[in-house]
Amino acid sequence: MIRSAEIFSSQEHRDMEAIVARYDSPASAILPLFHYIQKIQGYLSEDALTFVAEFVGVPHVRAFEVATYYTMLFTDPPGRHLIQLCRNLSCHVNGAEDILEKLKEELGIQVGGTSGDGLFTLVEVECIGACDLAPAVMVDGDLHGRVSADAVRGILDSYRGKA
Amino acid sequence: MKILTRNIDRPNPAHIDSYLVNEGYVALPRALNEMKPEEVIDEVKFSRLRGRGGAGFPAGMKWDFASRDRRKPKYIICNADEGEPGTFKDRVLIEKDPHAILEGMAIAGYAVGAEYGFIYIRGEYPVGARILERAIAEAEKRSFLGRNILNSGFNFHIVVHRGAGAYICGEETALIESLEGKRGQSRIRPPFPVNVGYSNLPTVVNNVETLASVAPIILRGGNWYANIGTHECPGTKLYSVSGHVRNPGVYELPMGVTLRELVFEHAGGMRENRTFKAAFPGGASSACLDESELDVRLDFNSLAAVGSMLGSGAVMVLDDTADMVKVAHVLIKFFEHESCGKCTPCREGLFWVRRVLDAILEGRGTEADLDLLLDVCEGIRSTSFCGLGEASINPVVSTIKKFRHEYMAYIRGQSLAESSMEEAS
Ligand SMILES: Cc1cc2nc3c(=O)[nH]c(=O)nc-3n(C[C@H](O)[C@H](O)[C@H](O)COP(=O)(O)O)c2cc1C
Ligand code: SF4
Ligand code: FES
Repeated sequence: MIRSAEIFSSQEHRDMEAIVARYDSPASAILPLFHYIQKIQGYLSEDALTFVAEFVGVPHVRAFEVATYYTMLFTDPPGRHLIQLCRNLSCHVNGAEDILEKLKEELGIQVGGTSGDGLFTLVEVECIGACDLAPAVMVDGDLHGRVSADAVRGILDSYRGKA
Repeated sequence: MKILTRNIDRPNPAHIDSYLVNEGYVALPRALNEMKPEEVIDEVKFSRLRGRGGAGFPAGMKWDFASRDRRKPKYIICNADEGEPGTFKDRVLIEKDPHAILEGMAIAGYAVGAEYGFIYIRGEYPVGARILERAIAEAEKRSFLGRNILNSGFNFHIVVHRGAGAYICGEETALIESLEGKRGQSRIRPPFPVNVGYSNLPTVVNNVETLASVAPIILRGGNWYANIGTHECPGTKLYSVSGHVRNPGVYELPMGVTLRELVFEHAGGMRENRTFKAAFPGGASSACLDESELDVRLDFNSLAAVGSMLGSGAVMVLDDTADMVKVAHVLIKFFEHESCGKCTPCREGLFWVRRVLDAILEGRGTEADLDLLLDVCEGIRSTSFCGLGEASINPVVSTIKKFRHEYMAYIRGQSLAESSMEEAS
């Protein structure tokens, strides 16, 4: 039994109750709860999965299955900022590969890796619905469009200052 | 002709006051006060509006099925998963005209007898999700949503539900699974969601663009709408144009515009000194068109007639710099990654197709591999459990058929020019 007080503040607990209350069926709140927890804790810890499963009344394995199915959910802590580079067609034909090379070089990591300072995790994603702005990169929730290899360092720097 | 994009160039377009300027929330009270639910459905039937999510199913008919099912509660789901590569038109509607979607959903709810709606929006659209939530709050404040809407006795509540990165969740039954807090994997159909949907209850799933077309239809009448576009595919369509055109973007045009007109008159044509080579007219799931097909009309029927499809209207345009083998490889990697893994032909087949393409690209391919690819692709197409697998092979098959010489160049280890000369001799 995970006591919510061990991993969430009382305000957070109330927020999560409000999320569950939006649905007739509590299990529907699993994804929204995961988004909420990932936002405040950065990833979905084992304790968080256990908590959510109990909170909505499903077996633990169900929470685990869902958490590992979706590419935007992390069961291991990623870097502080998540860089998602689109590798689909419109970005591909507009130079996404050059950007990938530049990102790897600047961060000294491969796709899937986290930079040594723990600041950035780099992943490739499928079309993010910004093909009119190809090549497109999303950092956290921010969309960067028509990115050139030369612009990569500036974009990274703008996050280096942030917490 | 601007129907769906009528509001997007206003200052602060997402705000409810911007929406109200242009007959916003006029159709909803008209439906609630002056029309019976059946009359609303009839009007949508007269319009012959076909679903914009990809399959082109008649919206009025879908609503009719759901309305005839007497079980309650019923649900309206707005499919805002927009995952088909090359598609970004729903994003524009969500960010620039969210109230048009909400009004369409409320009208759909009244028509079929549903009090609850969900907007399933892809996780990659956090900005859109916030805009929709704000719009719902605005609409509730003015009694366009919520309990007892405009004193009509009709209740309709909408919840925004974010996905988390899975293309298959755009498929309506996988979407419902995901909404129920499960892994998003397709269910067998039939039964269809109109009878057995969310929580096994009657559920209408419609695309964002479909729902945004509803209020104008109620306002001006189904016959008005039916006279726009082509007879089989009425109305305007939002085409998402991207790739190698000068002005990528969303263009609203009457259904049935030709590929040539869309690319050269609206999207600014090709980049300087470049020529048109190919286009995928319906995203990654569609068969490509080549130069000889520039005059094909971009509607459901015309594209099906040439062995391709309109899908979501994602037109990805390629010029003479595009390497069609690499293009097919990029697209097959996408499907391989997004296969939900439930059935073998799609899960295993796509892996092998990708491996053979790897080999060809690395110069280890043979001509026999092309027949092998076509064979495996046919197996995937004909035996996959859902639409993802069925359509996934279209880019590979169509590029082999239309650009075989580019594959042959890799196989012979020659440049494209050398290989073409050999073919010609
Ligand atoms: C693999 C796959 C992905 C799909 N993705 C979407 C999508 O992102 N958005 C959408 O509206 N429909 C998508 N569809 C179509 C839906 O299953 C469904 O037909 C549609 O939402 C119905 O709405 P409509 O009748 O208004 O088009 C997809 C279908 C398949 C097979
Ligand atoms: S065809 Fe592919 S996506 Fe569809 S059920 Fe089978 S494995 Fe899943
Ligand atoms: S292909 Fe990259 S955003 Fe669509």
